[in-house]
This record gives sequence, structure tokens and C-alpha cells, in this order.
Amino acid sequence: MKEFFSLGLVRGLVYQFFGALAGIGIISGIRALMGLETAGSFGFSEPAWVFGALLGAITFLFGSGVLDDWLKWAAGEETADHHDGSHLGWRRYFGPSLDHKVIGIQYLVTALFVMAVGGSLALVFRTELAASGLQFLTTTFQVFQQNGMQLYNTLMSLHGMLMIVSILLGIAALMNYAVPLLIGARDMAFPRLNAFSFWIAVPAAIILLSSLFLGGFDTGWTGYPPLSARAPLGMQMFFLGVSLAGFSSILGGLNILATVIRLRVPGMAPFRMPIFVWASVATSIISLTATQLIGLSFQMVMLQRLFGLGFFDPAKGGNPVLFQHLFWFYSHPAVYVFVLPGLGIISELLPVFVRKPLFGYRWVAMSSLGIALVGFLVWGHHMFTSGMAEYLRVPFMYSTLLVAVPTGVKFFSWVGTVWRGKISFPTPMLYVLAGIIVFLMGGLTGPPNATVATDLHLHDTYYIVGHFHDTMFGGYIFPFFAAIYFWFPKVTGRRMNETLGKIQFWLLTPSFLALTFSMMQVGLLGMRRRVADYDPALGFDLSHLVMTISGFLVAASALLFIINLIHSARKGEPAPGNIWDSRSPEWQVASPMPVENYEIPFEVVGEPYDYGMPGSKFVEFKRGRHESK
Amino acid sequence: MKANKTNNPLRLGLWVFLLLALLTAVEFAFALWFGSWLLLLLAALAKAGLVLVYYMHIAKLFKVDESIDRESYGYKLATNRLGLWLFMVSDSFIFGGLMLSRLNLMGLTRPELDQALGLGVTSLLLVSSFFMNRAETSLAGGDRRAFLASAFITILLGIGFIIGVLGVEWQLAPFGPGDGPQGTVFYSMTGFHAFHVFTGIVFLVIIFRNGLRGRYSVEKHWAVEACAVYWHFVDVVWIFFYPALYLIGTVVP
Amino acid sequence: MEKKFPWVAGGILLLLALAAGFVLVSRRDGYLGLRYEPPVPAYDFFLTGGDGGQVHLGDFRGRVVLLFFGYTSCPDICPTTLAELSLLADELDRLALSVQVLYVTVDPQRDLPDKIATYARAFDPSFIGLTGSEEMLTPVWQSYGVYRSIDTESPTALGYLVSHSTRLYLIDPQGNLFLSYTYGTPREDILHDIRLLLRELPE
Repeated sequence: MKEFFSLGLVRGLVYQFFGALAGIGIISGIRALMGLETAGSFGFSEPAWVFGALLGAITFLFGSGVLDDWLKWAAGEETADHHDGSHLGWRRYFGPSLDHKVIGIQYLVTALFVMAVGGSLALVFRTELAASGLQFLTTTFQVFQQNGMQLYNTLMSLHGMLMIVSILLGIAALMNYAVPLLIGARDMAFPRLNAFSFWIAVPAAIILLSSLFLGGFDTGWTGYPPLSARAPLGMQMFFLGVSLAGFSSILGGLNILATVIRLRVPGMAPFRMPIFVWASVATSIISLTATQLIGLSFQMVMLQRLFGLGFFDPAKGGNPVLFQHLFWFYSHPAVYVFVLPGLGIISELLPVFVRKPLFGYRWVAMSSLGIALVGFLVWGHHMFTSGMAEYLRVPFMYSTLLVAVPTGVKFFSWVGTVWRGKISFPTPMLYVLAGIIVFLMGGLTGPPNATVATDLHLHDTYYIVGHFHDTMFGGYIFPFFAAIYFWFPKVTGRRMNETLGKIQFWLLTPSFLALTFSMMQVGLLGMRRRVADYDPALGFDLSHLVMTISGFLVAASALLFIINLIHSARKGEPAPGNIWDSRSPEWQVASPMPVENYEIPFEVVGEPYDYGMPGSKFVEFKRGRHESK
Repeated sequence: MKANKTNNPLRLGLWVFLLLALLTAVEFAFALWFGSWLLLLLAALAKAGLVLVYYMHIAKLFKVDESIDRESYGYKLATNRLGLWLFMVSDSFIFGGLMLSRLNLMGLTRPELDQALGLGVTSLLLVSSFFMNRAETSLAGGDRRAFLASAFITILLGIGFIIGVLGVEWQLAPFGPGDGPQGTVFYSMTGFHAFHVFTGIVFLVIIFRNGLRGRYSVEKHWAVEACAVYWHFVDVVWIFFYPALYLIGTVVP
Repeated sequence: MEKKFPWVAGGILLLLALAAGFVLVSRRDGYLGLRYEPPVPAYDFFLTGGDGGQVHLGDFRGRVVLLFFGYTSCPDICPTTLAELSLLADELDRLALSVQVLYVTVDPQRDLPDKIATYARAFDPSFIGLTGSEEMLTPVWQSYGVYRSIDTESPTALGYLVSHSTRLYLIDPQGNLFLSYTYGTPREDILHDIRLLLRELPE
């Protein structure tokens, strides 16, 4: 029992609960003293709930222990540079750890959990959508102070945001685990900041989830005012949860950039870094900067609701379209945050499984930066029908079409890499190849959206839904699975079950393609987004049924994946060595990865991707050299 | 060595401050006589540039010695510096977003505000930057007493700024937060900025206390450097926010 | 860095002085509109108002007159300018009585007195729309340098188009042509000049 409460996670949660109560109490007390109404839709006033949630998040951080070292520094005490928590065993995953590998796993598990919840919400509303007519999410169905249709809105909104948060956590898992290993560093530049970046995501996710139980919200994941200014209490929880999760992304990006700039092994010039590091740098530039804007836009709506500041209220001289500009200025680059790491994984893994150099390595490296740069210039393409100044449509159309250029560089590189290679097809490679194909589908459906004339018809239809599911799965989910299958032996010293992996893959891929093709089909025929029901005369019933069944099959495959993960971690086939025959430095040392990563630092002696060139090496470990002091 | 008036870093800090004060007066004159947003922007950029170069020592970011031992204090110090600047780049996006919102909602009009108060709080912040620089420079030069005294004065001036904005301006403003774009823009910009000043004061109190206990030396005082650079960053934000709120354009009737 | 400071300081001050000088020169006496130097007496016309009666420019001595030329079938330039002027009128507050907007037609064939007067009033009740015969209007157009040309080649649903120059003229309370503005000048600039002009007048 005492051991249970010594876990950082548990203490954090307890502190969060009491901190939230305290926050609610403080504001309610102040309001009572000021003669203001203290009751609200869920017992307490909205300001009390919001402050309570915020204070709860802060007290969570104190309770978890992640702030301890910093508090000691503020008090003028010294702390040890590296806390070796390996003596704690499995417990070290439930509390703050400074080891980037532990943090990476923490991110991974949280990402999978959030993904499971977000996906389950989709299964609920997909069940409703399987046939026209409202079956169970009707106006008479009441739960969590929402009727069925309001619940539909909350479910589809939360599905979107939870998946986004799960992607942010998942890419953080990959980047945190792999980047220090790939550059030969002992850890990230700021290990405590790294721990903080993970731990703030936990209360953030809890607050986000709480929106479901506090009246929900009906705006979709984008939270546009004026609707979001009038939505139920759950809207504020959504805004606050996302703002807090944003800090995780921002600080994580900061850490990656500082690490790659400062902690590369001497001799690892920029164009000798593994390609995934380039992808991580491009991703981190975006997350460091643009994320602040979604935080700002959400906080502005919060301020409008709490204090009456009329940012987006026309009656107070505000401008609703301003929200969309601020919001999309982040949320478009955000989608490149979601896919750049995955595209980097594809580039990283292909050479290993075709035994050939990565074609055009420098171009590919630059293309990640190119996508990041152009990605900042296209946000208006989400606003073609918003009433923004018409003359802005054309430049945004051109800039959006321009993104295809650096993306195309990657595709041509992949073709060039695979050409005449000695291809093998273990599970990671299957996911890499399917990722390329699915991302291609997503990418090809981009230009019709970018072109103003067609977008006017496609905007807010299922065509868009199909487009972004393809890009998200192709750019993230498939490469994410590939990366886990690939690096699992490095983490655990065992390999994931190949048979189960292949079954899981072949279950996922056709189902997913059926899902998105159906989405695009009904979208072209006019099926609107974010609606709980549709007219049977439209003839969409069969397509929706296909989508629902496919959705369940995708979920089944995800479940199989998690089963494979857990089973292999305990009883998987041992894989102590370089089972993929990779040139990358982390595979040149034992599996599982030693806690200090590289006891003997390595030297860069060649190109990273000269696969198939006899006698060439990327890195060498000079035995007998001591770590320089 | 000939005693050049700009050889002594303390003296340099003073000259920079005097120029900043002069430029603030010039800025005010520009607003009064010219009403040109371009001139005000140039003046603000000049002031920001001076703070970035002479108070925040941005040049240190680029004079990094890659060859020294990774585990050494010096190497980690340079890494910490990079981390702080990355943080400030990120934070700038919030203030940039607020500035763009201000321009979107109010264009070339501005809220009706008390100019004397505006100049007053601006002066407090500017003088505080002088003392913050003095504190950091003194410590780097080995003068612990001067460091402590200057840090303490900076804290007082910072508190003065908060009182001036939240305690006086917010109470005396002829409009409330819900009163049109004026209210939206004024309270949000000054509010976000004041919050950052507040965190800067907290940071200052921490280094002052640790400084009293002798925790910092000439060679090792990263916390003091970080506090100073952050404080100047918050001052740079105000260098742009002040003309945006008080000086550009015409007053909304 | 330290040794260079006096140069840096000097450079900044010099740059700002140059910029200020540039702004000064491009904006004589602080007016934002194009200044007539020296002001010329504005051509004093008699034209027909909405009720058929005569309207004399001299009637508006003592007030600032904003004079614009256009026609009721104008698809874009005139409505946008008049809309901007109506917003300007809203922002004048206590100066409203000191400013008069006059709208003179370039299309006397179709713009009968009642039609153009009603059109102008639609933007703001104080706006006065004026017309007259071609003989009455031609010297007015010429004196104010107004270009006008009937374009019968590409008729619209409203009939023929009339191309015309788009300047907005500001006549001071002494009856002199004082400033003019290009099409699209924001009303803030015009408002600024009106305020500046009216403050400069002896009470």
C-alpha cells in the first residue's frame, strides 16, 4: 500500500484530485464573498471548475515528483546529474525518470492508451452511423447531461483531439527514445525538462477526457467560436487540456533541438546524422514555435468565456475569423509534426530492408526542413469558405500545392532506394511499404482540396475525412508500428512475434483502405462531416456499413498489436544482437540498450546508409578509449 | 590600457540605458508630431536590438567552443544558454500572436489610455533593465554586494511595474475588459505581459535569496545570467507592446 | 562590442533622423492627402439638387466639403467610396456639422435630380447628390480635372458604363481646393486631415 502511494503517478493523481477540489473551493469562496453566483451546470460555476482543473494539473506535477530537482535548485541545493533508477525495476516507469529511454516508454504506453480511448469513442459513433436514421444516439437518450446527438458531437470531437494527442505522445516516444541513441548521446540535453514534458501530458489528458463527463462540447476538435464561446462546460476542459498538452509538445521540441545541436558525437557532421534525426529536427522546429498559437487561440476563447474579453464576439468588435487564422497557423504545421517523424522512419528503415543506400540522402534531409518551412505558409487553405478576404485564396492555393515538391523528393528517394535492392519483408518492412502507399493516397487527395474551385465542394465533406485519415495513417500509424516492431528488440532484448505481426498487418491494411476509400466516395457524393445522421435517399447506407465494419477491424488489429506487444515483452523470442543487420550505432551494442547508452563512445567513420558496399562502416567503437573527462 | 569609457561593462550598461531612455523620448516625440507607425517601428527595433546585443548578450550564442569536453561546466553552460534562447523564441510566438490580434481587431486605432501612466510604467521597466544588467555585470565582475543591491532594486521596480499596470492602469482605464476591442486588446496584452513580469520577479527573488547565501561565483552563476536574460526579454516585449498600445494610430473615440 | 558602442549609438540616431526626415518630407505640414500648394479657389458651381432646386457650392462656406464625382450606375468605385465616406460621417461626432459630402454626377442623361439625390442619401442622410445639364456640368468637370468618358462598347444590365477619374476633393471652409485623395484612401487619413485642418483654423 505504502509502495503504491510512493509511485509518482499515484501521488500525482491524488494531488491532482485534492488540488482540483481546492481550486474549486477557492474560486467558489471568492465568488461567494463577492456576492456572485457560485452554482453552475455541474454544481459549481465555470470559473471554479476551470481554476480547479488548472490547479489540479499544477498540484499533480508537484505530487508526481517531477519538479523536485528544480525545487531543490531554487532552494540552492545541488542534485545528481543522472539518477540511475534501474534499481527500481518496473516501478521506475510509474514515476519521474530522467532516462530518455524510460521516458520514451512512458510516452509510448500513454500514447497507446489515449489512442485506444480515442478509437473506442469512434467505434461508438461509427456504430450509430452504420445505418441511416438515428438508432441509439437520439435526442431522448441522456447521459452526462447530454442527449444522444449532443453526445455524438462530443464523441466525434474528442475522437479527433484524443487521436491528435496520441500522435503527439507517440512521436515524442519515438523521438525521445531514438534521437539520443542515433547521435551517440548519453541522454537528452535537458533530462528534467524531458521528464516534465511527459508528466504534464498526464493531467492534460485527464482534463481533456473529463470534458466528456462535464457536458461535452459540439464544435468538433477545432473549437471555433462563436459556438465554442457558448458551448457547455466541457468546452473549457477541452481548451485547458489541449493548452497543457501543448506545453509537452513545445518543451519536447526544445529539448530535441538542443540535443541535436549540442550533443552529437564529435565527428558526426550534420550530413552524417541518421535521417530520422533530420526529421526530428524539422518536427521540433514546428512544435517549438507554432504550438503557442493554438494555445493562444484556445486561451482567448477561455478568456472570452470567463472575463468577457470580446476577441471573437462581433458585438464587442471581435472577429471570429481571427480565431481561425490563429488556430490554423498552428494546426496546419501541426499535421506536418504528425507525419514528418513517420516519413523519417520510412527513410530510416527502407535502406536496412533493401540493403541499399538511401537515395538522395541530403535531399531527403533538406526535404524535411522544406516541408516544415512551406507548411507554415499554407494555413489559409482551411479557410477558403470562412469568409476571409477572397484575394487570399489564391496565394494559399499555390503555397499548398507547393508542399508536394519536398514531399515528392521523399517519394522519389524511396523509389530510388528500393530500386534493385535485395528486399526482405519482415513485419516492419510491410508497415513501411504500406505506409508509403497509404500516404501516397493521402497525398494525392491533397491537391483537390488545395484547389479553391474543388475545395468549395469538398470542404466539410467526408472527402476531407478520408484525406486526413490516409495521411495520418500513412504518415504516422503505419511507420509508428514499423518503428515499434523494429526497435522493440533494442528496448526489451526480445523480438515481437512475426506471425502475429503479419496477421495484424494484413488485418489492418485492407480494412483501412476500405475505410478511407468509402469515406472519400461518400464525400464526393456530398456526405457532410460531423453529422450524426444522413438521408437514406442519398444511398450512403452501404458505404457507411463498410466504414463501420472496417473501423472495427482496424480496432481489432490495434488490439492484436497491443497483445503482441505485451506478450512479446514477457515471452518473446530473445534477440540480443543486431537482428536487422543495421549500420546504425544503437544496433552495434547489446540489447536491451545499456542504461548509459554508449559506455564507450563511437566515432563516425563513414556514411550512414552505405548498405551493400562491402567493408564500409558507419560507426566504430574504439576499444580501450576511456570516456573523455 | 587607456580608460575608454566603453571599456568598463558597468559604464557600458549605463550608456546603453541612457540611449534607450533617449530613444523612448524620441519615440514619444514621433508619436506626438508624426503619427507614423513606420517611425515607431524603427525606434522599437532599435531599442530591441540594443537590449538584445548589450543586455542579453546574444553574441554569446554564436561564440561557442565546440571542442571542449562535453561533460565540462563550460559546455553545459553553452547548452543551457541555447535552451533559454529556444524558450524565448517559442514565447515570442505568443506575444506575436497577441500583437497580430491587436492589429486585426483595432488596425491603426488605439485604446484611450493615460499617456503619463504609460510613460511611467515604461520608465519603471526600462530602469529595472538597467539595474538587472548592473546586477549581472557586477556579479560577473566579482562584486557580490552590488549584485545583491541591484537585484533587490530590480525586484522593487518590477513590483512597481505590476502595481502600476494592474493596480493603477487597470483600475483607472475608462473601459473594462468587455468594452469593445479596446478592452480585449488592452487587458489581454498587458495581462499576458504582466504575468511574465511576475514570473521574472519570482525568478529574481530566488536568485537574490541564493545570492545572499553565497551560491554564485564569478565562474558559476548561470541562474543569474538566465534570470537577467529572461528579464530583458520581457522588457523587449514591452518595447513593442508600449507603442502598440499607447502610440500608434488614432485614439478610438 | 564595447568599443563600437558610440558608433552603434550614432548610427541608430542617424538612421532614425533620416527616417523622420523622410516621413516629414513626404508628408508636408502633416496632411496625409495631396496638398494643393498654394490652395486655389474651388470652382464655384450651381447645380441641381434632389428637389429640382439649385445648390450653390458657396452655400457651404465655413464648412469642409468633400466632393466626389460618379454616377448611380457605377458598379464599384462610387459605392465603395461613398460607403467609406458614410463610415467617416459616423466617426465625425461633433465635427459632423462642419463637414459636407457632395456627390456630383458624370452621367447627367440617366442621373436625374431625384435619382442621384436619393442614391446619395442612401449612404448617409446628409449626403447631397447633384446633377444638371451637360452644359452646366462640363465646366465643373473641367475645372476639377475630372476625366469622364461614356463607354458604349460593353454595356451592362444597367446600360452603358461611364469611365471616370476617382479623386476625392477636399475644399476648405474658405472655399479653396485644399487636398485631394486617391481612390481607396482609408477614412482614417481623411478624418485625420479634417481634424488637423479644423484645429488650425482661428476660432
